[in-house]
Amino acid sequence: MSNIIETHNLTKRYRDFTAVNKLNMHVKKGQVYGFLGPNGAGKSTTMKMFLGLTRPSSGSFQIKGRSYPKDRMKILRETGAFIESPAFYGNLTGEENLDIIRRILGLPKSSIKDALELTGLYEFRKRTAGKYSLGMKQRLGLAEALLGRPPLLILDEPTNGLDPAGIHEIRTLIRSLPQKYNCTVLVSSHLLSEIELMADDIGILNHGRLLFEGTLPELKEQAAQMGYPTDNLEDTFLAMIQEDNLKRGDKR
Amino acid sequence: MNLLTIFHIELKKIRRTHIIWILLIPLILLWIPAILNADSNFSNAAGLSPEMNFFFQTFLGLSWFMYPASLVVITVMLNQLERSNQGMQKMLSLPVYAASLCLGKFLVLLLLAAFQMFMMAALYFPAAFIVSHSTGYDFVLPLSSVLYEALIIYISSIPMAAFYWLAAVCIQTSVFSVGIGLAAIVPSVLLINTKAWFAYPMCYPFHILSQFIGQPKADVFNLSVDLFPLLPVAIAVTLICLIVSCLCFGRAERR
Amino acid sequence: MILALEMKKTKRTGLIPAFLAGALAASAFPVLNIAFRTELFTSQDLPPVDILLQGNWDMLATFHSFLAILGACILYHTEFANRAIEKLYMLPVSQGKVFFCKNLLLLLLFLPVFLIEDGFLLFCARHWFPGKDPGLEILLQNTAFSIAAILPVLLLSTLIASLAKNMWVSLGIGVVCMFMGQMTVSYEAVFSKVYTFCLPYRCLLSSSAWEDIFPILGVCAAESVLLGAVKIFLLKIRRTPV
Repeated sequence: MSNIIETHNLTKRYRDFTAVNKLNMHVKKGQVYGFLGPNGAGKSTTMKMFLGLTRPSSGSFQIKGRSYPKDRMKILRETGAFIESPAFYGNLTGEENLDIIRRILGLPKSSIKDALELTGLYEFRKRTAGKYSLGMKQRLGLAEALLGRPPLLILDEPTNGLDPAGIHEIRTLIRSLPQKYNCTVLVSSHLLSEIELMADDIGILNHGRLLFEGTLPELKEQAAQMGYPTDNLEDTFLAMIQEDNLKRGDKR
Repeated sequence: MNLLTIFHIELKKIRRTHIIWILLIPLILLWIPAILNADSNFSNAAGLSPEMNFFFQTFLGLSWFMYPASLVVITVMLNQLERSNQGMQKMLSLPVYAASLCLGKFLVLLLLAAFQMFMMAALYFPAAFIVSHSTGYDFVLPLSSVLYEALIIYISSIPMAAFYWLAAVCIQTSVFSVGIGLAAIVPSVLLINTKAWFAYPMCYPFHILSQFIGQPKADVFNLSVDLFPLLPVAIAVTLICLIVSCLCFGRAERR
Repeated sequence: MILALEMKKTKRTGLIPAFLAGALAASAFPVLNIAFRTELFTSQDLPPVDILLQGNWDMLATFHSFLAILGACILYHTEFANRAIEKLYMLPVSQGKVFFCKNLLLLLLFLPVFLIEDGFLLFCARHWFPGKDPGLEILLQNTAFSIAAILPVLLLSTLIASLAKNMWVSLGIGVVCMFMGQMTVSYEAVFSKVYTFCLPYRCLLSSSAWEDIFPILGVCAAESVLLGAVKIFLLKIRRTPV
């Protein structure tokens, strides 16, 4: 199975701190890759680099064998993204917001209805996005990412602000996407329990460094070897992060 | 992705912003006192014919302050729309060049400015009819010359618009770009009568209009403004402003 | 206390630099004006302070109106930008107090602006009219008068800014109102004597009689009270921030 995203020592340094540190991650085609880490671990920064929203300080990455910044436009054309908080124009309706993106991507009109129905926004399409509730804004952001069913989806904490029913619905949607139209999903979260339900592969990030990459059974196996609790995965995750933070503390 | 599509998209973004009213209301407010004070046109200091005075005084009022201020307000709106809900971030993660987005927005700015100038010329006629009716003197100037003069003023304002756009794009704090934009209007009063007026884009519309006033009435189409060095300077200013703003556009969102 | 909080909110909004820059730009105008057209100014047979104020006050008043609108836009834009104002509504604090403190803050910021301008005008008087009385007393009286005249403008600008969520709307309306003032200030009509944005264009000269000044001050006071009452009334009938 080939990798759709590969990074090589990808690093992002801001003036006084390193957000992403020599990251080497591998996202396989047709999988849901769960990107896990506490707040401020560098998940969003990594995803922003994939989209060219921020420039890597060093290292490189390839998406579908294409490299940044040479093929930025090609990468963006095949990637649907949802970064941090939903981005939209408050004075436009949900439908108009999607229409703007549709025109830029050069998609047929029917793709708007498709995305609205996938995210359950169809009945609110004529309401201005500024008047949407938090959950609806989140769904609009997702619809923007899903528009045109791109082969690669980059979703940054897509279930933030949704109610339990909405979280379940969106999780099921994300889970079903690879089978439905053969795409790859990179989804981030700070909850292992959530990633557990969606992802095939998991990458755990803390303070910009990748602590673990592999499948869920592999994670359990490694945790058992290293003496972390394995009966509850959330505890495993917390123990890993804590251990790493302690190690970092020692270095200082 | 051609510029026309981007322009179309940018036009869509300004729906429900009420900008049309902000552009239209000052024009109506401008013509009402002009109509009420129509009698003063018969005794003007410049020695112009009443109908010429009526036309030029109101156009001067517009082009010295309200028109540049409207441009500043439009630039604020174009920026705020992108920034308030991270619309800009979405745009930059789509396969479209930041420079073409920037130019698309500039075209919207020009279109809205054209709308204001056109409405100014269009409102002139009802105003002139009312005044003619109330004073019994024919105030209506020929359609062709009114449109021609509005067009010339509009074209001469393009470098100024480019300058304001540059300020709005490059200065992240919109309050400062507004401050600079509004403050930049004022020195034009000092520079307008100097030989170096062509070096300051904010002078162009005002200066050209005052040239029109100096012309005999029959001869509106032969405007005697030295195109050199005005034209090269104006084109250079416009291009430099646009190029720099295209380079700066979206910088802050892509640290 | 609220005034102190309002001061704190203006951190990094650029309000104080904007006022400083505005003061310097406004002050530069009379200097440049007289430097460009020395003959026109020095040939007049009037006290220097009158020549300077008559020749430049219109432009200075334009600057003051700009600053008032800009200041009001900054103060309320910080409230609306990240919906801080909604939080403010949930706190046990009177919205009216917040509004008046914002105005007081702007008024306090205008004091140094006027004083800086006075300094530059004094410099002009000394430099271009040597040996004549520079008229410090008149300048200070004019400053006191200007503070009274700018108050209704501030109240109106902040009122507009507090009603519109989008800055371009409040800025647009502010600029249009100011433009109206500029257009009509020279007219003889009653409107131009009482319209809020016409008031900053009035100034106090050495030849001014108190009979001329008092009615203007009365208009300023009446409008300030009226605008304050309008804000309080709007707060009573409007439950939502926007």
